Amino acid sequence: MEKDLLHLPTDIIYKILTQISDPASLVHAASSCKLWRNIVMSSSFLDGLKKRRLSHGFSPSLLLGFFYQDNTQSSLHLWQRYKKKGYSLEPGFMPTSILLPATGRKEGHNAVRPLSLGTFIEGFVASLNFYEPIASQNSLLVLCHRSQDATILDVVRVCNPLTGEVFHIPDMQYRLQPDKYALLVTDDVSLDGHVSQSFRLVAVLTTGNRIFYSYYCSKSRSWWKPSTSPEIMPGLSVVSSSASSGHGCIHWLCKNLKSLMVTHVVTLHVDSEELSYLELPSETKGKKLLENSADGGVLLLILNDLQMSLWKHKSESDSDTSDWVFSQMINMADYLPINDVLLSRPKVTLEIFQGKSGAVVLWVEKEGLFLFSLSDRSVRKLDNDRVTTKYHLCPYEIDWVSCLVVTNLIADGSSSLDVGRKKVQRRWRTLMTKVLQKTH
Amino acid sequence: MASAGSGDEKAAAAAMITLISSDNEKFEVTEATATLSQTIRHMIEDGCTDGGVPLPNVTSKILARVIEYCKKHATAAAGEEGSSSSFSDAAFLEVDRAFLEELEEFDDAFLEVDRATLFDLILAANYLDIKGLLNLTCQKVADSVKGKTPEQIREMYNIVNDLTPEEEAEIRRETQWAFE
Repeated sequence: MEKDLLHLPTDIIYKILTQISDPASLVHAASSCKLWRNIVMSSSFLDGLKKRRLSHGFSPSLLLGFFYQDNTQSSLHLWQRYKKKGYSLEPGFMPTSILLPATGRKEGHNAVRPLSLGTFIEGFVASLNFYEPIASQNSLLVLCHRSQDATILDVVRVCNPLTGEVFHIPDMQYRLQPDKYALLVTDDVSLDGHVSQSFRLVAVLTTGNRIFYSYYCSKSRSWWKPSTSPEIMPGLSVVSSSASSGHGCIHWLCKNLKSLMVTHVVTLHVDSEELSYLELPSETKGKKLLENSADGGVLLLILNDLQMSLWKHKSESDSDTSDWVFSQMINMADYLPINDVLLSRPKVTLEIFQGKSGAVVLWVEKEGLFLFSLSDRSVRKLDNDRVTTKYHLCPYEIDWVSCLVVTNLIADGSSSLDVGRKKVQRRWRTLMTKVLQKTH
Repeated sequence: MASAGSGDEKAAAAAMITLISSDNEKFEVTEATATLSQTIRHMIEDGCTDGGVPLPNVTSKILARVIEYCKKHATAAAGEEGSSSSFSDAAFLEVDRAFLEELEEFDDAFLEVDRATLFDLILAANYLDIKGLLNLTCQKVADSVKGKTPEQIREMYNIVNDLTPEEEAEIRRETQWAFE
């Protein structure tokens, strides 16, 4: 066997490396020899990476973990415990890497004590008490403090746990008590090719047939309210809990008011203040979740009994009729720890779906929460003694480039990272390494 | 179904091209099959295919496989009427789904080869400039490193570890946390 990989021309190796769909695999490949490392670290490779919209498959390693906050007890009760025992009230963090594979038996809970958000964001800890992690996008995390008193407006913060940055959001000037916050992240490419990230935090209130919204833009550092509140097509009603966001849009599922079936997706284009509609594939029963894939397409995940199916919508606008493409069907009975499938079907519900990593969170009656990967179909037990269904889970999914930046594989343009930021990055690494050593 | 398309196909089928491998074996293929290779397409356009096309970089064993691929995919390409093969084409989605699935099955089976053959196929696809085959074979290699550690990747592909112990330790420290 004379022929091996290194006899291939460099441009072929380059091509192979660009076709690796998972950042973890790319980092590993780059760590195998000097030639590969040099290719991956070259500026042209990285430029290509930033511009590319990955369209093939999910990258499981983009899901770093889950932020969560206990929202079952009253603030007052928690506050008393906090004072007495030094009980932490800031959001916790559970890294994906510590979750144990589910074997089907009711074994012990994930034993490692979860980390908290304060681990990554210094000097912010005390002020994070009672904040709920409510949304995340491209490594940014939205925290919200909701008052019991409905007349007091939410207090919202945006931070980047990966870099330790905190963005201060001024209070909204408009009387809007949103039922949803969505984060839209944009990569701005300057004339000299430098890529920087900006975000818009969209506060949305849906009232069945109307969508009221207002957004904060990190570039202008101010809130902005559109001139109109778009109205939904007659006969449809928005399912407010179903929102998913990405690529400048927010999507919701819509119910047909006559049949009460979920029949459409309505999309709010935040820039143009317009709505557009997609008809769902017919003959699809079951609980549905929407997501955006890494390439901006809309994904639809359906759980009907124990059959989970994934549909993709082609985002090309040249043909607007039903171009949902059926992607896969999975019998969850093969993967979830479900005993006596035939005798008494345990209730299984679809909780969370993440479009870039392909992570799905399912709740199984009497068993708890499980993390299922659409990529490799692995199942991990998600709850431990501190994290159960009662906790508000917020998946923390980062983008490709952030993933490579944090591993020091690439410099992120601002090579002169300030001391605080370097410290946070180092903390991510050392903490995770410690956690890993404990579990092995 | 007497459409203009089938007439063109017949005309194309009539024109045969002879490909000659490095070990002097001759392969007769239709022009439609041969022109999946941009390299051969250009030769045909330049009118220099009389007496056969010598391919000194491709052995008969590999050329036979490449032709097998091209024959299968030429049928798919014929439906696209010359538009460069893009699987996201809306027109392509109109193609019978059963045929698409058959093509995917063919590709999967086609890639069931040992590593040396896979690399030879990559080199041949690169030399003959067959975009679809190059993508397919490179993706196979890209997918093969998924979930592997650097050590496993080196072992799999006989890569000599030329990183110094210090560099290696540094990389390991930097990448370990998120990925293992």
